Amino acid sequence: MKSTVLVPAGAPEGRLTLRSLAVDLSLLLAGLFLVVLIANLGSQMAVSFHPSARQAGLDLAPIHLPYYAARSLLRMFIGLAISLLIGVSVGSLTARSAVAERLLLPVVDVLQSVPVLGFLAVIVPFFLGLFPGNALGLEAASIFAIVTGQVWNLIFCYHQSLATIPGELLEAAGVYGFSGWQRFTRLELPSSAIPLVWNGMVSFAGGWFFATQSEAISVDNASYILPGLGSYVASAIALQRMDSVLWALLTMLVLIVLTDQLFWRPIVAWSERFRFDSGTAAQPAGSWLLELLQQSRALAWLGGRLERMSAPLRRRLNRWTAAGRQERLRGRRREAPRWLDALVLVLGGLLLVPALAHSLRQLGSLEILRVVGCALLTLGRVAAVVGASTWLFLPLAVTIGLRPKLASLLQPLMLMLASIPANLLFPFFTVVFLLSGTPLTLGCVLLMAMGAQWYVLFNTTAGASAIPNDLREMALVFHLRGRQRWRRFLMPALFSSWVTGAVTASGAAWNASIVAELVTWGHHRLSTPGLGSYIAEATASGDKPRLLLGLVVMSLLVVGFNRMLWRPLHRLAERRYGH
Amino acid sequence: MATDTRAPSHSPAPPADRPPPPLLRLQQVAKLFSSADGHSQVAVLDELDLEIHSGEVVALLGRSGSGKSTVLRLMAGLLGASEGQIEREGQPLRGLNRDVAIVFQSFALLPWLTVLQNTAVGLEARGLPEREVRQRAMRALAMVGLEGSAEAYPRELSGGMRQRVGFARAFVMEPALLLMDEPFSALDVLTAENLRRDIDELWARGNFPARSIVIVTHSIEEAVLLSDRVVLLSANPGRVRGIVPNPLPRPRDDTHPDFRALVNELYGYMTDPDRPVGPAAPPPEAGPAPLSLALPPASLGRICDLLELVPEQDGISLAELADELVLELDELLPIIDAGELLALMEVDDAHLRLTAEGQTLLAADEDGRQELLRRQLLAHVPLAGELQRALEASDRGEVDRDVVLDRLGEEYTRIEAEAMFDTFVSWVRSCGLFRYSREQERFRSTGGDGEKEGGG
Repeated sequence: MKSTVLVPAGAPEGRLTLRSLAVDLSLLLAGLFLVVLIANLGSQMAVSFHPSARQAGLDLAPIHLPYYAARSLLRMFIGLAISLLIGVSVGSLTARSAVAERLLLPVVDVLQSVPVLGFLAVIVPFFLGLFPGNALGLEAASIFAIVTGQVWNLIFCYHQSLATIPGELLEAAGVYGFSGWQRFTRLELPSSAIPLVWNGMVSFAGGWFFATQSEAISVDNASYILPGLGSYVASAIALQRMDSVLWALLTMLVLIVLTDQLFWRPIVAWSERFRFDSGTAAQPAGSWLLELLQQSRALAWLGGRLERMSAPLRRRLNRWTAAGRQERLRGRRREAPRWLDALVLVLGGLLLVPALAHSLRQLGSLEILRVVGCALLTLGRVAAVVGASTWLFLPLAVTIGLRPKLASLLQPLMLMLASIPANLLFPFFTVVFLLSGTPLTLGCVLLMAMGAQWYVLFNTTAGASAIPNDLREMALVFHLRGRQRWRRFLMPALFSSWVTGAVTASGAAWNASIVAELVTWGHHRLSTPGLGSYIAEATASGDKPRLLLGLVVMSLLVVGFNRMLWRPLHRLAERRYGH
Repeated sequence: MATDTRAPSHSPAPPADRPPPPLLRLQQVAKLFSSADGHSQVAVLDELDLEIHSGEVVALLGRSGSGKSTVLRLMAGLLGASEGQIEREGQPLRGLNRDVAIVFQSFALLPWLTVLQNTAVGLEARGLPEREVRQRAMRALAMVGLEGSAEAYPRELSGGMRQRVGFARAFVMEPALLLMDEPFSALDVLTAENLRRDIDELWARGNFPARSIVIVTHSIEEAVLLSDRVVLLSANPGRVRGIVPNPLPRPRDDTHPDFRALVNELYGYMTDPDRPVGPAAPPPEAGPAPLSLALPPASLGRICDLLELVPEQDGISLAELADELVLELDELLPIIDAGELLALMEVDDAHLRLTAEGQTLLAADEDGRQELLRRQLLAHVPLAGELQRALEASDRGEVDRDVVLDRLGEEYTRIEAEAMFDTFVSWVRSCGLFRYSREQERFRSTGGDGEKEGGG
């Protein structure tokens, strides 16, 4: 047989040069700095804290902002790590056991529709009780809020990736006797790497909203403050300090750029190696940091060293988790019994119905009318957000998406804009509303749109740039114009990506309503009736029955719309308008 | 093939008194899957008897639907038999068969591991020391000529080289039995030929890292080139039709008259499912009648295209036709089956002829052809007749998709039923027999004007 020599794609074998020495040295310093920073921040998390003592606002001097930002960022990363851990464990559980799939996935689906912010009222007292006299309780609550914002997504993502591993690869894993450890590290984790990274990146961007919002909250007529960007802005609002809000916004932007360049970009570029289809990556993402890391001789040495040191451990792991002789392929799993669906419903009902009945007995049945009225108001606003952002952004998305150069320039920018937590922008709008006398009934639509609109713009732009080139040329050659161009060409081509964007946007709008229907600026307080303000007020005053009622109604609405509207639309999009 | 002169190094010495048990024995094996409506079971394999002995290469040859790949997966223990017994060297096989390795059609390499890591993956699983794993993997890579690419990733390799990695991964396990699932069919003709020759050479050299090979294929030439025995499988359900020994001396020359003669003999069996195989052929059993609803996956357009190519008087031999069209038998057979079903052509002794209707169709203009196709469909496709009656009986002249799909689901698995449904829709649409809307999921009669419905 012929032998063919290829360039090995292994470790760098560069010579020792001044440049490589500089690279290694700077990486070493950066690594040391990171360790010291994290240790320092971590020790700050566990300071003693007394809920009874009145907490002062944060020091608003901009010089402290890097510290606050670092505190928020650390929470974000801890939240991400926990979410990944849960996502991978629950995802592999549901992928392995049909029973777990039947039981857990519907629950996860409902939970991802529940507004996270409303839960803070329940979470904070619980975690405070867990760590009495220590700020760790607040930290834990904030991290919990971040986790609940992203974990559901990651569970679905991991479950889905495992379900789509090609059949012959699974068979190969069986025939070649993969140990449990090999199955996990060589098959399952790599297969899901790319979806996990992208999902994690988008969830992380969305997580800023929960991170900042959960740092300064009022629960049961007590307010709690954790040092961070969100609490900085909250203090600035209380003192009507617009300059501080601007500083915070600037810090946020810097933070977003930094995490993108130093964390996500290298990881995205690195994860490209886990792509199944060979060589057809749309645009191979590059990262200067990853290149730097790959050039480093010290890192390569360290990596090789670690690999050799861990070899006996890996061998032992392989032995421990060796595939049993009797093991069958997990190709066709046995079907889970149908009555599990009913079980989930009954259990959910048993949990909810008594609590709801109790609440209603306390509030009187007329309260239902009030909640439904509030819900209709907010529903109208959510619809307005989705409708307006579609009407405004669809033409823009087409303009950008059909021009590849413009798209590659603007898409990263749009992702960054989408990462800015909307609540940091609220103070500007609040001031404008106050000065111009705009009623919040209308104004809050704008506030809700701040967080939600980007999903529509981002998805439809991606959809437009994915329209096959020959279709674009067809539209030009046959002079499709105006209404006809939209009806016959653009709208069908963009329908699928619009649905994806609109689902996410409406979910974000529901969540945002909790903070958008009640805003403050110093002693000025703007509020408008709606389900969001209903929940926000119940949270602040510790009104448990109303809180429960509001949360249940909002969750039902979100789940209901997902099932009745978005899912059928999604199916239609796949069936009729798939490329 | 007990007289094989090759003595693989690790084959156990046979006891003097009685022959050793075969490497693998399948006895009266059946594999059932549930039908689409869930009420019954569809047999993919039935009453299958087969023995694989040490030192032989066995080719499993059959048309699609014969369950060739299912047999392979039963041998590997990836699937369990629904009925019957599988024995490994005299012991019942339970769970995965640790004596086998598989070379997959799609290569099934992990794209994130290097060539070396991919090759070593099975040894690692056994928890062997790293040095030994590496040495043995490198040796296997050397056998397939890839030792220079050990550090490359699969995506950097051509298809042929990727499949070489697939072979190295199997070799390194030194399996008693090497299973190959159409290992060359994802490669281009030239590369496939090359690799096939290399594997043949390795086998002929006598130090092949497996004692026996079973190869699943739909290519007759491949079977003749590689095997010592060709096992012909019948379709729906799959069972052994017969076994054709292949005594041609190695290395084999595909232009040699004996080679061609064997190829032609196999062509005859493949194109005529009712023909008894071999001298020791089982008596032609009455057997189950071919399932009444089966629709071969070929479009009416393809059938008409094929008709145009058949010389009107003399017909054409199938081997010649396949050659001329550069079509795999797998692609050609469904078209011929469909043509036979519609009584437009007939096959006799691997020779294709037009029927009277076929000749009429060729002579007719476009409208005439459609008219004729509608008639043939109603006369020879039971499902079309049933639908016609159902449409006449319905008040609104409409029949739901599910009615037709359920009818198919009584006899076939969901996947089969859906494929046949799609074929059925394409047939009735293209000759204008009925109309079908994918949005409303409903059949409607054309009102006799033969107007076609677009879209979908």
